[in-house]
Amino acid sequence: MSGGRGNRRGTLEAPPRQRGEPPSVEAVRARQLGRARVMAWLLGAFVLLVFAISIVKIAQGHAP
Amino acid sequence: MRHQQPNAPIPATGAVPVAAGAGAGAFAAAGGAPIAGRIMASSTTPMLPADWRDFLALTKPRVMTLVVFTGLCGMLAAPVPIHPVLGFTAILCIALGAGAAGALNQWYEADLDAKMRRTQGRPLPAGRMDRQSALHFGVGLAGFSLALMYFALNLAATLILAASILFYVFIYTIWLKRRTPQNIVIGGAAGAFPPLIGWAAATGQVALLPALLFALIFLWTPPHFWALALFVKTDYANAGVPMLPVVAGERTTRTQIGLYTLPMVAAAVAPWPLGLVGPVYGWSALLLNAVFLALAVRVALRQSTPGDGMKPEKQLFKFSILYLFLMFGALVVDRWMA
Repeated sequence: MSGGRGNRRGTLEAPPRQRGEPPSVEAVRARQLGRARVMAWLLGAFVLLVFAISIVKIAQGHAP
Repeated sequence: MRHQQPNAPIPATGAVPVAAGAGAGAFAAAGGAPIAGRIMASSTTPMLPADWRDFLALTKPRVMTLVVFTGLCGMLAAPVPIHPVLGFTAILCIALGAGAAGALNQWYEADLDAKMRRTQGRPLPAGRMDRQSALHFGVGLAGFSLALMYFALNLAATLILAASILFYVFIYTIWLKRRTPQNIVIGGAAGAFPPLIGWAAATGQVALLPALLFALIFLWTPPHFWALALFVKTDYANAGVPMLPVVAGERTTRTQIGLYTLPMVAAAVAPWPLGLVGPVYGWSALLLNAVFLALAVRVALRQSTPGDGMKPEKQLFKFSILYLFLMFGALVVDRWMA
């Protein structure tokens, strides 16, 4: 995953890039990989959340 | 105030070139090694896809903290208990909805943000993301938050959440913010919805107490933001945003801060004599509102001088944030002790 660094306010920002320079294939791939990893985690968490919500609703008598 | 075109050209960023060296603005399939299929919509330098941190920054996470907290307090103050999983989901949906509204706000105001020192570092004015990505992200996140809220909770909470997102984007961001110095007054309603949403998530309906909480935040918003605007006036002036200090001057703004504080105090204290809350909230409200009133009166009556640092205004702004956290915290404590 492409690295970030904290700024003065302590929040993470993506690293700056140079305007006018086309990105390398490796840089693009690294950025895509980073985003794909985050999306994978989010999707997994979403699946778990939907499962938990379904269990709760079924227990509360909202079965389809 | 001249209306500024929202779609002022911003250098396109984030579009991935189909192949290295491809001409901008067209598909290219050179070299047998395409990278991705996104079209470069304009003749600008190809840029990296936006980082996930920039998408997070689009959601204005620091603003979201107060939104989430007031929504949580509204839910906890409701007389009907809610299952922790559903409660977590409701708060998550409020956060996602607020984040979506923030993203769409940044999408629309990229041109203004580029002119203000306070916001120049945001992903769009800084060139770390293209506007289309921000738009797709905002719309997608809004739709997802509403769908999840409806699936997990109820229609009432979903409709109020939808209203808050639409209000913030269309009424405040697109319509009012560039047109009138009363933008904060009316647009502040968007930030007042979370307690209503939290209450509706738990009960499936609204009641007088959450309506008063809505009124509290609605009336709190003008003194909060006008205190900020007093000491960042130059930033707003440079961007052409008709904030009250820019349009009507400092004296009028100070007077309005004092005047709006009065109904805010009334709305904040009202639940106690109405029998909706107990003495924990009541006494906390009296104390906190007395302090707020004192700070607001001090701001209202003083006249700044060049180089005086605007300390009372900064104190009022900082306290206003603490005030809201403490008021809603007192509400929850009061409910638990009832």
